[in-house]
Amino acid sequence: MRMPWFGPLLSLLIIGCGDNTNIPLAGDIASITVEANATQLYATQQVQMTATAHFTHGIDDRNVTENVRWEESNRSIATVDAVGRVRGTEYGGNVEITGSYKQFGESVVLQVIALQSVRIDANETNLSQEQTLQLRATGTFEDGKTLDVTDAVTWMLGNTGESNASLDQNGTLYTGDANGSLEINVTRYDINDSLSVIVSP
Amino acid sequence: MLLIFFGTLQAEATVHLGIGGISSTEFFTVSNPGQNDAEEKALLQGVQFKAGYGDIRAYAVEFDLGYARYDKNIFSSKDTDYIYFDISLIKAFDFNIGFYPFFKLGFGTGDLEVRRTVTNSMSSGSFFGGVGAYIPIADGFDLEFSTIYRDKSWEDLDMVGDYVESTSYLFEPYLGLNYRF
Repeated sequence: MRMPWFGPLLSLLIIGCGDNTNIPLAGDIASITVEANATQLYATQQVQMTATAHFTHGIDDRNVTENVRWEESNRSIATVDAVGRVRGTEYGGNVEITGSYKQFGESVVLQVIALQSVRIDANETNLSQEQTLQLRATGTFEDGKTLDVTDAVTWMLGNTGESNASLDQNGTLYTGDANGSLEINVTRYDINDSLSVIVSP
Repeated sequence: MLLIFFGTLQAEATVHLGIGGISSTEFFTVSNPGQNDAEEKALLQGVQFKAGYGDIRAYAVEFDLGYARYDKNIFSSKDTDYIYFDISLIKAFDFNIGFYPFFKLGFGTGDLEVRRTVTNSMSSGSFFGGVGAYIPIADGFDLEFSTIYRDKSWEDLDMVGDYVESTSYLFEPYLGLNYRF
């Protein structure tokens, strides 16, 4: 059973009435602020968020990026991970990124420019066996800008048959002992491109 | 060892209930992140209720419940009620001098109401030891005087991945009245 009158009554008897007014010895959290290293990003890029805690008692500000909880307002535009890295996703638009710790928190609005199309670039398409070729993917964004998106797309190799041809996720093609046509595809959400290369002995 | 202790405890054991008060200066050391330790002292005053079982002239075990307040804020801008609970083992002596000196050892836990940004209470743990005396004043009643040295560790205070660390100590005199039955 709680007796809310008990504490105040005893405190009257013990210390006297009135609260203590001195400044406490222990510092406390004053606020947490959030910043982004850019306020606009292309969908295949990343932005790093930073959270800084500010304290009372002259305690130095501290980077608390990995201590706060990061949330995004719309996962179809961008996602943010536990260490504050924001990545654009499928659609363009504004997304609010919030860093919070208990009742403290702040938000920053980022503009994401969506990817519209992607194109595979190859220096040559007639290859020999055991050849390595670096492929590139170029993306065109909503604002018309083109960027290298090689590392931001998913690379797939088809029509390999029994051969040991391979394709790394950085776009490096190895023809191995393939003989004939290899199908290369890139995709990011519903945006795709494909390219055929011919491998000869 | 415990069997010997409880065997001895039951020799002429009684239950006792008591009430009393403490008043003492407590010395705090607070370590804010990245800063030198800060020190402060505060007056602690409170009332204590106790229940025990044992022999006024030999061994006893005792449970104390206390309520106290500090005259200064240490951990927040509004430190208020401090509730604590102690368990003590007591060894008293009968030298036929009209009172029964004793020493006691024990440990306790406490909870201080604070008003911080991310918490409203902080706990403490303590170990203590001290000496005192029971002075019989009437049938079943005795006065108790004691003083203990108490060492406290306080719960670390959250500073977003870092902490404020705090300790304190005090010599805690107690004056109270016990009834044994």
